[in-house]
Amino acid sequence: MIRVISILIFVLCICFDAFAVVTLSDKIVKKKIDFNGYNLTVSGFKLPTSNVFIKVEGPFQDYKIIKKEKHFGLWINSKSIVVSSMPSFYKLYSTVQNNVNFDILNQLQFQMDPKNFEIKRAHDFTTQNDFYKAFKENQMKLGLYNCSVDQIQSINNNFFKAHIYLPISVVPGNYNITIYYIDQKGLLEKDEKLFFTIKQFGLQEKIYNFAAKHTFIYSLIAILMALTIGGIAAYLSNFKVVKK
Amino acid sequence: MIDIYLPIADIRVDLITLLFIGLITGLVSGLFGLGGGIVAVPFLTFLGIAPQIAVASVTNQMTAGTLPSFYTYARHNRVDYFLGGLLLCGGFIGNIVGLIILKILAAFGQVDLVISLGFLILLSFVSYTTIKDAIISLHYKRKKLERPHKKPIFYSAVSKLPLQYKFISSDYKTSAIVIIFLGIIAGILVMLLGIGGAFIIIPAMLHLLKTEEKFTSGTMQFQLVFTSVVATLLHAIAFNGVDILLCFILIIGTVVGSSIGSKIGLKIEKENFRIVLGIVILLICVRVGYDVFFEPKDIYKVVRMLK
Repeated sequence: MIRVISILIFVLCICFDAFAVVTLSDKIVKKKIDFNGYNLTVSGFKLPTSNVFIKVEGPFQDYKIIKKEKHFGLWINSKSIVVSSMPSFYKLYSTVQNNVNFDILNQLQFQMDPKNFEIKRAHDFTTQNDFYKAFKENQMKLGLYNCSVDQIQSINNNFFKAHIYLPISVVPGNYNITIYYIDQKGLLEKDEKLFFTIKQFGLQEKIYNFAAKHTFIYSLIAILMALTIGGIAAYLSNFKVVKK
Repeated sequence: MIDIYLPIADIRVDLITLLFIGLITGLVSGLFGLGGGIVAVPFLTFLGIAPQIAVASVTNQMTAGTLPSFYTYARHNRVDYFLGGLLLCGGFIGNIVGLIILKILAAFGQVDLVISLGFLILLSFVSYTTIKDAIISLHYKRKKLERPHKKPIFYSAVSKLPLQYKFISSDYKTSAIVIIFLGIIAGILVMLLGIGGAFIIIPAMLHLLKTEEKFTSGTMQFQLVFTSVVATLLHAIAFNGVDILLCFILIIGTVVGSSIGSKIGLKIEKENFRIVLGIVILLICVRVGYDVFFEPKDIYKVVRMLK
């Protein structure tokens, strides 16, 4: 039955010049207060001879990477680098079981190159490379970058399914999924793009946005809150004294 | 474990731990009259909260913490408003100076180091004086002797300075310059470290200004309420460093802890507890020192920049 359906989809795809059909399980992921990670599924159809590579990245943000060094017996922040538009989440997936061809990946700009990053203050290449490695290791620890290329499940050589795990530390924002179809010779047959958004819900997000947009009013509210609670405490403590 | 996400600090922390820190801060404040910043800021940084955000949020918590005690002192006419007003003028100047220092330090990326070093020096000083003072008090108590009062220091030099005023809290005239200078120190401490600096200002009021002991705490609290408000405002506007959720949790813990602390304080012999406090502060000091002098686990730190 599955074979019949696959052949049918295959014929239809060829007819409409769209040999790949891809779907994403969710377009919006809600990051609520009880968010404990989420599994997103990308599934689709491919030619039996094609290999599929998936790149998931986003949201692009500015990061400051600081290095500590020992000076006069103290560990102080000695060097720092500000990199702009770095993806906070970056993961690669492939249908190739072993020996992923990194030449193909490099051609497709899968692997990020520290030379390509927009850095606000110039440093020599070695320093830049060390900072880049430190950033990558930090993101790996948070589960936001993968250490190696993760596996895409291939079903009957015609379908593929990739589970993208979004960890607890995932940052709200817009994410891009790029699906690359590579032939046996390592040439790009086609690529497709999908998008999803992680939205933070609840009080925390409102606080964050409000603090960023209306800093002065936010600080006044913080002070007012402290004065109100302090005032209530003052009233209650003195009320008790008076009662005694 | 009830994890809570702090939006400005951008970190998940255990709610119970935060409430516990607030409670301990309140207990220290209620029992010994010390501002909680000296305990709260190091503990928050141990949890992984950026020192600058810890300082800014504790400054706001200080507003709530000092208000009840100021109100109590004011009701008992134990606040010298003129002296407090001059301290306050100095405090505002200190806040601005503190902000400039913070801006310079931020430009060099050394805010964390200065906060850690500042705490290291203050914590070692406070633990030493607390333990020493408690042991001396216990000695005199056991021998049933009256503890001799300390001789005022530098008073003759202070009395020669211009702008001498008479205050209700003192039988002697004092120079406004010295008072404003003390206020500046307090303002800088609030801004840089999130602490009121009572352990420096109160002895200075007693020995330099010859202020009567019954007026010192109330006047100090009066000055602190306003300086902490200004410091919070400056921290929030200049660095977006105040985490309102963190403040709220800390304030709740502090208010409860402070109430428990003052009740316990009436029943126990404080000297024994002051030795314990001194040892606890010493341990915090060792932990802060470890971070400064020993190789950190992560040499690199990645900070996501705010929008």
